[in-house]
Amino acid sequence: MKQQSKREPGPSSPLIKRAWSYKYIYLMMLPGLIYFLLFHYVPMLGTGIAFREFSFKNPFFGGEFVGLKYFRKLFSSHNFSVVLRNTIIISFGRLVFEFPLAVALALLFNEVRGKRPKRFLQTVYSFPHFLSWVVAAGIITNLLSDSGVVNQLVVALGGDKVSFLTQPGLFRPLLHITNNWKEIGWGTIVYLATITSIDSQQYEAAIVDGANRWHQIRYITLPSLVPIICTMLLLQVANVMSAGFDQIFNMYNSTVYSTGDIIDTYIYRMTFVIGESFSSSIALGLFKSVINLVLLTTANWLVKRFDKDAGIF
Amino acid sequence: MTANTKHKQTPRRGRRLKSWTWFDYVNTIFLILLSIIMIFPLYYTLIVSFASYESIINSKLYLWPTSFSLEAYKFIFQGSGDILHSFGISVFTTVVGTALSMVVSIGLAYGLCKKNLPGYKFFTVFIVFTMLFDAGTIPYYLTVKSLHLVDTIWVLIIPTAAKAYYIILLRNYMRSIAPELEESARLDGANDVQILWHIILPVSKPILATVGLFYAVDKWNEWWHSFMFIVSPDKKPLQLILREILFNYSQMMSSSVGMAIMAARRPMYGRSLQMAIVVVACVPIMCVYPYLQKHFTKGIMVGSVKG
Repeated sequence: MKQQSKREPGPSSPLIKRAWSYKYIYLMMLPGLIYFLLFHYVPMLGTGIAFREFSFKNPFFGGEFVGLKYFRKLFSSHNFSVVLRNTIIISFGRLVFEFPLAVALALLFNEVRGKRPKRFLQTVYSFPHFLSWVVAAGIITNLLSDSGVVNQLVVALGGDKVSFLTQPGLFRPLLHITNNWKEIGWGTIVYLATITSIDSQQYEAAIVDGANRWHQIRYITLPSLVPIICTMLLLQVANVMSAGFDQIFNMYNSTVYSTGDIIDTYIYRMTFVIGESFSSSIALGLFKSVINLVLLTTANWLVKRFDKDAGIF
Repeated sequence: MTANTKHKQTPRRGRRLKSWTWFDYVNTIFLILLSIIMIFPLYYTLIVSFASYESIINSKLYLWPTSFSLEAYKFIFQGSGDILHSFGISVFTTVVGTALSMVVSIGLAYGLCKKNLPGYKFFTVFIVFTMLFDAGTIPYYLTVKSLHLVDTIWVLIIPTAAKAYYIILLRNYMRSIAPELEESARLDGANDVQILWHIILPVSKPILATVGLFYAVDKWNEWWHSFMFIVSPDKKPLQLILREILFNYSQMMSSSVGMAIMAARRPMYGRSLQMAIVVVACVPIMCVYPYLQKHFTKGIMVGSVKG
């Protein structure tokens, strides 16, 4: 690289000398590297506990090696099959009821005339994204509570009050509706930004050839969005095992465990509410992370086979 | 559908046809109606927070505000020091946390944009791998515990000091800066620290603003670390106090906030108080929202982490 010519005497110079010329860089990187080591790699070391009895004295290295004991126990438990099923169903629900809606909304936004109205709509739609799920869940519970406005409307229309947040059958649809409310506007931004980068001459040429709005969407806008849609889809698929801890943990309660309890919420309750061995919950966490890792790398590899630039790493 | 939108007019000024078609009307009306639905939960939160005790008890509250009362806000700002104190904790962790995050992230990102750095490949994989593999809640919990961070205010700052994704954002931007700028400074005898400070950072202002705002919003909204690790009432940030008040009414009444409500001898206005705290938690976000909006497109258009 030419820009570093002064710093680098040449490939023949010893590595140490070369590294020494970067001493300030290493110094600046050090705090960050220590951070990642402590808070990301040390915990990875802790996943080994899944194969040992947990020892309070020496959690990271102590305890007797028990092999796959806790995995066997986990896979044969009833709760595991329930939370695994819930996690996958909710994740696929998000893929079906949330993912395409953001693309569709982006296309509708794009058809709005004038920059100001477009910007105004975007402002309104993406605001809830910046609220925490604690705040959002507070707003939602208030809206859906016994004396909340939704129930008042139900009563006014002649119905009976519904206890929305305690019905197992309603919990998943509610998750999708509320997550759409919170995230859909934010979800459109990545698509809208891609649309603005499309060459406007393409549209002009198409109009001259007699293309209408629908044709323009179908043959210009949508094809240009395919790579980014693939990338977003890839990320979504790779996260199948985490169905949205923040949202569910702040919205669920014991009455909807049968449909709403996912791996991450169960890990929490296993350890801090039910009081099972740390080894069990770490085994479940490791199971989840390994599947996520495999899915992500496979999906990335697949997407790259079709389009070299669409992969994420 | 196609027949209706077919226009024989020649296009003027780019692709947009001048006259409105039925599609434009339907689309605009649809998006406006939908945006009312989007705003409604926020609007309803606001009117409940200002509603009087009587109107809630009698279920008179509806789509329009029928009463106006400042009781809930008075309680937050005068009745209980707890909520105000937790607001202060949140402000502190947000300000200090964001500053620390920026220092840590900028240092790392600047190093990672140098492809000739010995160990470049290793460091990149070191950071990116943390995005691909998550050690899990419990090992993380045990790590934080063994670092003696439990029930200190630093648990809200240090464990969230950096995010791989934001570092990649910074790195990608810094890498796009013309290398000639840096080279000429180096010829003048500047070292890496001086180059970063005088050359790279001033040019990187847009991305610094983006990442800084992202970090700040994340820290303000942080509830999980406090939920897991904070025990002392005087160290609880606003999000945690809010969570306790929202989800556990009995816990709220037995806490010091509940004591203060009893001591105030005012009629109970639980829901108003809950929503007033929600509003207070939203206000800082609303204040930075215009700036956020200006920058966030840049933020998520990172593209890829390839390098």
